[in-house]
Amino acid sequence: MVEFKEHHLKNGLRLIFNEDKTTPIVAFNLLYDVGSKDENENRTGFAHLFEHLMFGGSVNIPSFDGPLQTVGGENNAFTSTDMTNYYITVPKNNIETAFWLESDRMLSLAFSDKSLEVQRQVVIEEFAQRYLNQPYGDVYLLLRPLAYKKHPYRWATIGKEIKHIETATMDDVKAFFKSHYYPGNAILSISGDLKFEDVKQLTEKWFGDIPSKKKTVRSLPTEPVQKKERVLEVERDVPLNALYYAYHMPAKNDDDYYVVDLLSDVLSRGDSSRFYERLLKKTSLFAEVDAFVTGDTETGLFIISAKLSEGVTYEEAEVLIEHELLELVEKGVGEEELKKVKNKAESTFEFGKTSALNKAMGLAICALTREPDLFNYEFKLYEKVTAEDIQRVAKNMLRKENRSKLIYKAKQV
Amino acid sequence: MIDRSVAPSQKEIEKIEFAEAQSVVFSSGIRCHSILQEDCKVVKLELEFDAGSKFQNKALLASMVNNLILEGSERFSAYEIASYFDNEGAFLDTSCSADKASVVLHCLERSIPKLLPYLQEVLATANFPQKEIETYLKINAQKFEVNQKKVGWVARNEFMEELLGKKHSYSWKVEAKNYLEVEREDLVSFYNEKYKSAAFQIYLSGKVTEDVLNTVEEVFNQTIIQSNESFEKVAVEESSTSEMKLIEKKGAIQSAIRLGIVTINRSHSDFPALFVANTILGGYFGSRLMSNIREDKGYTYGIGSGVIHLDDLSYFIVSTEVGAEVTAATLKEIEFEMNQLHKELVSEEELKLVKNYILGNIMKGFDGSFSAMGRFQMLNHHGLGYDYYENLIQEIKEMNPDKIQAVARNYMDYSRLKKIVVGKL
Repeated sequence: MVEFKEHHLKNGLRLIFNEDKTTPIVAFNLLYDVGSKDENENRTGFAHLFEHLMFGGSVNIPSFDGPLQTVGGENNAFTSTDMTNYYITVPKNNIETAFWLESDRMLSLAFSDKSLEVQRQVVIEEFAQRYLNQPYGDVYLLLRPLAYKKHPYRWATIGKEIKHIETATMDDVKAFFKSHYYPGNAILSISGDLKFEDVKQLTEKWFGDIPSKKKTVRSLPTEPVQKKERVLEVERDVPLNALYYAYHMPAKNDDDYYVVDLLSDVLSRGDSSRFYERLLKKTSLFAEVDAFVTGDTETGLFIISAKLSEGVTYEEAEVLIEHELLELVEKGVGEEELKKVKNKAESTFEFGKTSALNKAMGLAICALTREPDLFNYEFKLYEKVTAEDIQRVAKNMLRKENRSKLIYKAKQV
Repeated sequence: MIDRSVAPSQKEIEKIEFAEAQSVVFSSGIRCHSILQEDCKVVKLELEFDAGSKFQNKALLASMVNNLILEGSERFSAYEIASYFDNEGAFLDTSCSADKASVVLHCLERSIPKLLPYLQEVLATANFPQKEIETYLKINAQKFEVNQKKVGWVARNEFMEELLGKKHSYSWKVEAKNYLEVEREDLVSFYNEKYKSAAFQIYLSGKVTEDVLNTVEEVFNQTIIQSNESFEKVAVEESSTSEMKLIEKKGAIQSAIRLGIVTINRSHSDFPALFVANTILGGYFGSRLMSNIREDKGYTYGIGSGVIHLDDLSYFIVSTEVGAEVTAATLKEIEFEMNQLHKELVSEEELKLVKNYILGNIMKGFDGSFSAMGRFQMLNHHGLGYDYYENLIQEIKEMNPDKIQAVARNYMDYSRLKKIVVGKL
């Protein structure tokens, strides 16, 4: 059990605190309820660009990193389809510095032109390093718009195209800040060897006077039910042919999400999994074959990805993969196999509790998804999944009409 | 109203509490180190063998033995072994570096009595089935082809040879043809010598109760250890050239840059100053290389420098991936920043920041038993005790700009660095 206490500020900021007496370090995690799904389709990649700009100085403090490093702290951040998350670790006697820095950049940024120009360039290099200059790096830039037609999950967090980043203006940046960065849109989660009363008092002191704003209700377009299979074929300069299937799956607040997660584990988690043993090891037709969920808050994707050994045709590969999927649909899973993937979920949960940063981040993300206590009972949602659930969900999800297929061919030299 | 332009008062980091490892030597000579963390239900067990790539006489050998050691034993197939650990929800992994090779188990404490005897048997009777070897070679030869398309990977693969010369035991690089050269006998003899009858060390962290310790001793104290052949160190090839090695990749959007030179180890009296100088140059997010090349010019998503300590030598390295068209400009800036350290004394303000950053970082390294064991492992590899940290912390607190300038001049000379660029220049 990870014990936690909560406190809500008048301006809407939500504080979650876990007391951990065993560590000299405090983890300070501030999550904003804004992700790439909140972007305008002509201004994609903005949530992530914005994350970079948050380090370019705030209204009263010219540099974010310097003062934190001066007190022995460290920080980083990430952006996903659903959230932007900032986290700091700092020696506990200097925790107030974290409050000072994070509250000031929630109040307002410096909005310097130089910072925008440079971070724009850094993000363009990130786009190049991670998505363009890597073999298979653009797979999700292709797969997302194939699987989604209306929902903003149709673009990747990095953005649809570099052009959107290149043409971002300071006005866009300011507008984005105003719409998404305010107390009511944030969750502050702290874990460390502190007292709740002190944490509460520090939170009130530094965040209490930041003006409140009514939380806007998000209204995203719903993705129409897919009626028939979609196929996209591309050719790239890569050594091996690759194949991707993406199926629409339940949202994270639906208990069936956990069914799909276990189903993907049955297929490909660990060296005794079905894909690993039956496809990778037995046939040697594959160089890699995996099944996983994208983990998005709203209806995400269940993905199968495979790289084909040289000389193997798509037809051969697909017959084998489809055979495995069909077996799930027709026969489901055995009790022992199910127990196995549940045990993995349990030990993953137990390892997840061993550091202050994991706890602080986990509690914040769970608070966003459902409620903080989900961190404690999430493994029970895995625990209650039955073999019938797996078969039922497999039957419903693993239909051709629910699938987008990407054929990613190696260019013949 | 609070004045937000004023930072809260800063508390100095006075003392860092180390969670120290307890070490015992079993009657067989096997050494076992442990750090207990009460408030959890999990255990990490690492078995570490002197079986890194520097001991191999053929490319790929060390990593292949390490990878395939769990892929079949006298009584069990690869699938049975994987299932046994998966069924308990455990994670069994292998890792192989230039010096060491490890088998690492993460599991719930309650699974220990069930898993350890099985693990011991598998490791003691590994038999490297031909079929598994073939599958491994086939899959990895294909992964190699994919990696060849990554500029960063190619630069890493080439770097040690560039740094140390072709003959050095740390200079192994992987080539496509290597996947055709490894035979089963090679694996078996490497295994017999380096795993089966060799001393290894055990590192335990997490919920390491008395019962866990007893089980570990009972299970692993059976290995019969024969004397290990001594390892002959090869000298670094002296070469005065520091010419750039350019590996061109057509159509590359980015270039990978790796620059480096052999340097002093952790026991050298100049090391604390070099450690601080490196941190200033490229050892943290606010470093000069990051501030200049990422935060000011936007040439890269990331750039860093480091001092890497292998068991037999240490080296200084600068590494980055940058936009192909700014490769030359980036090299100029790296040279500029290294020269700045020679020319101008570091300001008190920057030095104070870096000192505190380093101290906070050392503290973070002792956050929880898993990290604390990582720190101990490092000390153990270099024959150091916890007083290493006490001294280092003291030295860092007393560090001054003159010392930093002196080490920068001695050990961070751009013109002497070996240089590799993969991509375009």
